[in-house]
Amino acid sequence: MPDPSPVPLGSNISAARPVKAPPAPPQPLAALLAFAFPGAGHLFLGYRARAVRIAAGVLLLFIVGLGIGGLDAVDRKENGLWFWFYGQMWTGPLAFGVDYLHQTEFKVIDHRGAIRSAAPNEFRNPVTGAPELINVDENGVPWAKYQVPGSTNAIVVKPAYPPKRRSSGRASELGTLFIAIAGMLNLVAIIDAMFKPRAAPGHAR
Amino acid sequence: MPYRPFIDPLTIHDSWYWLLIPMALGIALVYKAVRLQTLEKYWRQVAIMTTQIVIGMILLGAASYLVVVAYVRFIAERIAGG
Repeated sequence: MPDPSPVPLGSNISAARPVKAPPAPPQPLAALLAFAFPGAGHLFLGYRARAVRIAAGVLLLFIVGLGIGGLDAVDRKENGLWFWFYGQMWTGPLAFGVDYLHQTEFKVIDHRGAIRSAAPNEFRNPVTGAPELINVDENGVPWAKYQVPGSTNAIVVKPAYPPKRRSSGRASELGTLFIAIAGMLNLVAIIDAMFKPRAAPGHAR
Repeated sequence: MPYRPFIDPLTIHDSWYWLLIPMALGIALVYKAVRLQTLEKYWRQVAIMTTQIVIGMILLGAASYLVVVAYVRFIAERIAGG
């Protein structure tokens, strides 16, 4: 009569049970790459399809957010909602780059040395960053003039506009929220890349 | 002043709620790419999750509306009457 037990006599019974695979070693380089660009960590580990989908989702949210809220959606310093940047920063150089551009190219430096958004009637001196008053000519065209340090000639700009329009209300809320969600989702992807085993060759998913 | 994309904000004060759809889609795209064991049913799962988020938010909005117009009014009337 055959032995009904699938476990050979004398063997350790626990050895016959399926053994859980040991956790994969952490992949700090994959996490760093995922922070550098959405999806890059998964691409590094061999998950090309996942990487493309992660990048598409994060970039969709980031670009739509920036489109809705304008540059004001990413503001590490001024808009009274700076703490949103702690969520947004997980999109990596995208968020830091947009914030850097915002602070250095689209804000004015007033007479006290404070960096702030320009008022609707202020033009940004492209050399010094100082605010210059916008005037309107007889045809209704806005113009401004600015002086280059070390020169006596004034340069007239026509038409002249503020460096950006301030965002408010829903546009501000939703733009900021979209980019914060993009950042938090990329943080999920960073953590996943950190603890994910490399894809088996030929089985990249 | 001309509109400059990605610098100036959009004027969306009347249609902002439509943005719930790309937001839900973006969340589902990333979440399902990370969470699913295999990607065979990826797009189906993304569509389901997007729909779930949109319906869930509509229900939450409706519930909040009911709280404000019905329950808060009821409480306010009780306080005023009592």
